[in-house]
Amino acid sequence: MKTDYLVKLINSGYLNEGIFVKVLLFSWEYPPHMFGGLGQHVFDLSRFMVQQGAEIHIITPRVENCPDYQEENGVHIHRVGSSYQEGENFKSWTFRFNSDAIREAVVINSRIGGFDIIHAHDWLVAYAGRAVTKIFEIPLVTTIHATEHGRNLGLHNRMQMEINEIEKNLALEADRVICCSQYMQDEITSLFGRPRDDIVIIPNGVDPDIFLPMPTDSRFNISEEDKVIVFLGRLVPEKGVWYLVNSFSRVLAEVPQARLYIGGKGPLLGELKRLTQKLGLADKVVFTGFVYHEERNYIYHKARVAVFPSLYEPFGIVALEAMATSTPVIVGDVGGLADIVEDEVTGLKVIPANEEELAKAITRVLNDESLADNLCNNASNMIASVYNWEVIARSTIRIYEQVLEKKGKQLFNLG
Amino acid sequence: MKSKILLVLHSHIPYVKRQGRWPFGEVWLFEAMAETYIPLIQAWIRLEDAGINNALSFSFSPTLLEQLKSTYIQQEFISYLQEREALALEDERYYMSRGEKDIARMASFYQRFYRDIRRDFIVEFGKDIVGTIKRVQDKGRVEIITTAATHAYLPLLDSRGLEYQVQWGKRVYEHYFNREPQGFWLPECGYFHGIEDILIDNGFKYFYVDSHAIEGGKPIEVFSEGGEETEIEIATFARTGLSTYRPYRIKDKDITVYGRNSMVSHQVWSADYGYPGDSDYREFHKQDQRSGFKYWKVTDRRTLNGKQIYNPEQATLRAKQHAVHFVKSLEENSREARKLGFTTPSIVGCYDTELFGHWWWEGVSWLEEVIKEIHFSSELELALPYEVGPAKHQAQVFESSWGMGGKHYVWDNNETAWMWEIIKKAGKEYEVLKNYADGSDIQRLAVGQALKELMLIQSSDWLFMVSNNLTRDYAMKRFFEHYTKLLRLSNCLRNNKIDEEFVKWLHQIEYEDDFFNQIIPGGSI
Repeated sequence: MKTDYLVKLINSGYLNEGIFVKVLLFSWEYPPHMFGGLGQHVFDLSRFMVQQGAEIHIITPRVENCPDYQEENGVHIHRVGSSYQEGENFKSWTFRFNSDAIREAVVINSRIGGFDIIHAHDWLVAYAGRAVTKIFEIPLVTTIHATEHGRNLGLHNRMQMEINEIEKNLALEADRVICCSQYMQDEITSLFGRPRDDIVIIPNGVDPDIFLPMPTDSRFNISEEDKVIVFLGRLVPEKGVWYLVNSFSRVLAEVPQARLYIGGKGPLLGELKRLTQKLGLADKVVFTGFVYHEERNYIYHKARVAVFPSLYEPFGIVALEAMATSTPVIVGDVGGLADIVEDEVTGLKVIPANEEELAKAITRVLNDESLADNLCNNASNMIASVYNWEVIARSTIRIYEQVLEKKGKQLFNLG
Repeated sequence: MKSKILLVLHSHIPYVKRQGRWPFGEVWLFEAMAETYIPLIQAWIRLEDAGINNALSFSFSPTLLEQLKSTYIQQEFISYLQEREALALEDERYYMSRGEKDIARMASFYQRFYRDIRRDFIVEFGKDIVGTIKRVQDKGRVEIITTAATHAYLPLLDSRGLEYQVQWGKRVYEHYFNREPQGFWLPECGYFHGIEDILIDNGFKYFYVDSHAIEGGKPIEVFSEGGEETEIEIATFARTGLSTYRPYRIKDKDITVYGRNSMVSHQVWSADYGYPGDSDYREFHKQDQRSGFKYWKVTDRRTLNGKQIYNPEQATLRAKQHAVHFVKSLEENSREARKLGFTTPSIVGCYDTELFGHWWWEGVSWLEEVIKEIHFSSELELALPYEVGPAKHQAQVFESSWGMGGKHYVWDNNETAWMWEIIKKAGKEYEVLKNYADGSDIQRLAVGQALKELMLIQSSDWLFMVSNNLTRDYAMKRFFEHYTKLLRLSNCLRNNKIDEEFVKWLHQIEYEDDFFNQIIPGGSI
């Protein structure tokens, strides 16, 4: 029996052959509500799962100027609660959002005739995921993108301990846990005690197509002589951007045309600006703020090298994005980044927090064009074969199937 | 005339039945049953048999009564006691084999304790603690009173929620005790202007408040200081010149209020001056790594290191000394009151029942000794509220509680503000659902279940655990689950999706959250 929805999907051409599964996805981020990589991940995962035949509903916080309900790429987006206001108690806001998300889930679940799977992304939606799962007896899958312990290199205050506790219970109660790297699998096992067999590694993906559009009118005008080094990411200590600014003065000594573009927001912004002034680099370093799609594409397009000198990185999607734009990458040899980059083949790896080594690596890439070309070609090939959303979406649906099989439920097979 | 000592014990455990066992859940209830309720009731029966005046206002929350009445809980409790006994036996052998005779002796002590409790629970109590206290009430000088249905924190609740909490508090009481309740225990002594009207409407004659609610001034700090990241708001209250040595009639209303005596509370509760911190008493926090049994004495309450092995005989002796000391202070207190011109002062002592036995292991022995000492005192006598005589004076009482800071802070702060929003939303949701109560049997059943879910959401326990960061995840999980159940009920009722699956689920949660099932079959209000 095909539902109206299914018929519509088949007619719209979204649907390939495959399995029909109804998934409710809880996510704190969904475009344009973006802070880190989570929003992009959920955006891509959901639209590619729709192509595999899944019915996907996402419940995510309200955003100004966005409709409460929207269908985008075949994905149903439901926006609830209030948008987060700067200065608001974040925890309170999160739990209030969870309660609104539950309310919406109850309504949609009954309207669509019951979800097969709940998929909760990160602790921010843990209580909504757990409660709906329990009360409606729907299996729960969770993706743990990062942990509080990892983000803060330990737990240092009450809030961090609370978040750790929420992450732990989410990881322990879910029928299956997904994470993006070997590194995260180890972390989830050692921190929360969830057996390794229950944690599946599915890497993040990148879609090279989204890096093609260029802005009609860019805020930045990068001249051909400038040798641009780019960093994109949240301005927080774990991203190592502090060391990048310090090493940049050494790079300038070797490569006077070098320019550093720092894209992103975060608590370290003021300190970083003061640092560049102190080092006399203010006219060579550009703080772009958060850069959106076309602008980001433009910067990557002009950049000679992308540098991600992280101290902690569960996956490192930014490195893959840079690779997808054919920009050579230099990364800190940690976490997921260490898994992605093969040293001297698809990029260069440096010891985290070592400014001298970082400066050397940057100078090498800027001065050696054949090295840069080699790294780019190898990286592009790897992206196309491994970090491919189609593959990832299929693997994710396979996880749903396994979870349902274990519960004795079978999915409706379109083939 | 002797001074009147009014002793009030308030007993409450949230509804944990079938919601986890250990480390969070039913074991909380089992511990309170084994360590507090049974030994305490036994002590009261002993006092009664010895002809000792044991007048007591004994408050039981409806959620606790329902759980104590449940045959499931009664059976599980027996298994729990058996497990503990077996565990203690294992410990005894283990420590004997290691030559640690003092610990082995304590393990053997626990083994006997749990065996005796099991025997008494089955034989003396007939597994029915509620039935036993009913008999005690019917025959003697114990007056059982009631409280809010699920122990909601009343000052911040919406008006309909208040009515449900008070009405169901009364109904459950009447169901089990076959008489009308006279007194109402305000959960956490949470008082606001207007609550007395609802109490009067439901036939209540009296309630209790903390001392600063009557006298004004600085609230006594009942609990220890909060964590380093919480800033406690301490409310300030103008001095009124009134005194807790006498009950008052609430201004222009027909109900009596008793104020808690601050000295009496302080002596028992305070971490710094109170009895429970004495070095000879059993240490609450240090537990055996293998079995969880508590084998140590406080030794030095500032540190968990260097604890010495507990000595029951020594501790019992200490409890006797403390009882004598306590009654002496009461007598001094009473003489002070007389100097101030009170011819027959009342001294009201209110405590959480679980303090005695569960938190303060020797507390039951102490209390039993106190009752005996008072019985033979020429200055004091235990009394029940109605024996104090009608309140001749009127008073305006401050909005207050017995929690940290003296007002609502413990239940209403940055950590819990979002919970109150949900509690209010849930209340509104239920008001709409009530309209379906006249429909089919299933609809009526669903509305009755919605009321139970609403009342469970309103429990003050979740707020308390979240704001104190204790078993926080359990509390939040319960809070969200009951809310989700309410929303599911609501969605099905509103959209008339009363299909087979819904009915099956409804029966399932009726079984899961099954309190008041005896009283609300399909329970419209």
